Amino acid sequence: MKNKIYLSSFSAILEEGIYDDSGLKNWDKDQIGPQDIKREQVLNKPYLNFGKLSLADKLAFSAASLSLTKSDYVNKENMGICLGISTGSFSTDCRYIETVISGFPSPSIFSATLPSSSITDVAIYFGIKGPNRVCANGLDSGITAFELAINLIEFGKTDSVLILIVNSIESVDKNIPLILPEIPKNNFAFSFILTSKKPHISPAFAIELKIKKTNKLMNNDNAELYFKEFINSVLLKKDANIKGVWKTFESEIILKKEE
Amino acid sequence: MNQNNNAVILECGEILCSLGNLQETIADLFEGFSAISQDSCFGVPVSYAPFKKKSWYDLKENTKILASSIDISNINKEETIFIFCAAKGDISPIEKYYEKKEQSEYLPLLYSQAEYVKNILELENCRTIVISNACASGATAVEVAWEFLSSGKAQNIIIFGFDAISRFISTGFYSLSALSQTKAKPFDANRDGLTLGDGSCIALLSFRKPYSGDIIVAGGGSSNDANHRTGPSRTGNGLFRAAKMACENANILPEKIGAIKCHGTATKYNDAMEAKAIFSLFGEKIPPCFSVKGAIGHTSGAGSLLEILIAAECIKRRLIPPTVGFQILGVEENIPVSSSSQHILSKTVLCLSAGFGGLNSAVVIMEHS
Repeated sequence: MKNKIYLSSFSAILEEGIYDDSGLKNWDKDQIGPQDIKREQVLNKPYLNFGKLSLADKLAFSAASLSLTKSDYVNKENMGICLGISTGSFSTDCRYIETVISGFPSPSIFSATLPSSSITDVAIYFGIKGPNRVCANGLDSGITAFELAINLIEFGKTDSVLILIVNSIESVDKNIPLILPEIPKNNFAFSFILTSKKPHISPAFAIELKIKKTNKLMNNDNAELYFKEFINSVLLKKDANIKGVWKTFESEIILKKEE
Repeated sequence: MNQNNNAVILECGEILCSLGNLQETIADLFEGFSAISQDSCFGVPVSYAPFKKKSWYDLKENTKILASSIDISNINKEETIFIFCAAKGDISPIEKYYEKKEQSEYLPLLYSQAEYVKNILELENCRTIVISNACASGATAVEVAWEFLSSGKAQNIIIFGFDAISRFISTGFYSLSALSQTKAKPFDANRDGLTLGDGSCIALLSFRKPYSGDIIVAGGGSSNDANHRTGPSRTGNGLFRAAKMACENANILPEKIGAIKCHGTATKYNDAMEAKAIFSLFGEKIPPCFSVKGAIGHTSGAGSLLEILIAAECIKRRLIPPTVGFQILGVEENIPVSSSSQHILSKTVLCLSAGFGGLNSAVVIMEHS
């Protein structure tokens, strides 16, 4: 019999504001949305690199920081990270190629031109040293990262995973008309920490994920709404079956409350 | 192997790189040949190991050649997952757009390229997963495949890797002062950086009862250095933990490993880190080690799968190739880097990979007997 997997903590950075286990905090008046997130909203000490991060990296770092602060899991040396990033490092790629064309290729921008870049600063800053998976599948990147995280725990490669789900579109992308008709143009990030140990919170939520292959190609669900339904169920402290349809498969996250 | 004696089998695979396809590459590796040219790489004055044939840079042409090497006519496509693994894939469409306002058949995004390849392979209804763990992408894809197959979540997995060098890549590595002007010399005292190489590969993995001679993916492990954006850890602890996890996952003691396929980029810090990781795992009894990057260059994210396929071929021959470019040991630990082809005593190879951002991955493969 498989061991249970629990939700230790979560966060979300969305158009309406920042979610954590205490609910929604709206953006300040001078903030339009996730692209304006400030360091002091996610971290209570200075971090010089924060302002230098690309938007995708900043959203991943912020979401990670919020959920790590709230989690009672402490062994970060063993914690894994699974990232689902729909457009990879596209904005940074655009920025880098502009420096190449200008004749002065930027090493600091180049070093962030990998989809995996969004977990690098998280791992370094928080000392997270377990296994990593980076999925850049487009719209189903988030649910795939979720599934790979569960695989890691089920095979005993780690007892906790930080899942990061990021969608970011920056103004630089608008230079390229060929970008992704189906990728949502809003910025968002989710973070979930899953553990094999029941956390010291009440109620705790046990999590199960079912994936079912479809026989025909389907239209993708909205990843943001899918994971928002997840966190709303947790905030309302109620059991839930969250169903999603992706291009070639269906997903069902089962949340079960344990007092 | 599980309770039913089933295992993850590497059914077949093919590569395309600067030395040719798998058999051509193996033949040249054992002869100690290098395909590295020493003139320039997309306008940057450094060494380069381009695809053997120019047409291979074309993703469509490349995919068609690789597709012809595996027979997928009898697999249940409904229960097959397609994994595309790459660090950057083909990023040249972004250059074309910025410089000439030309659009390509696919976007400069990995999932767009994955869909493009999947359609050529006629796998339209298969689920796609894109793994992009920097230069450890291919090995991580094998680890992910192992997890899906061992848990019964898929019957077959097709992994496709493609990383082609372009101006985007060459200028970036050059700006980081990571490239050799001559050629990559893994673990050598005079090593001065890596050589970029084009590479692509395909592999079919399944979960079934193994037969004598089958290559088994016994297990894998991965880790993060949590150390630096571009440089490896100075201690090797991250790669050591990935390798240790791979051995534990494969249920194999390090002393049963017959050879180590090293990441061996030939940068000063990677090779020093890797030697430390190997010493930490094996102590004084280190099996023979080899790197192929002095012959075919560093083929990036596709490379770690491509090199696993080379290692599988080495197991079948009971031989590992010389490490082209290596002459005098240039790391602190006394690791036995192959300077000529040599027999291996055990049919088990540990394959190591390390990527930008401290992403490490290790895979254990073995021949079933």
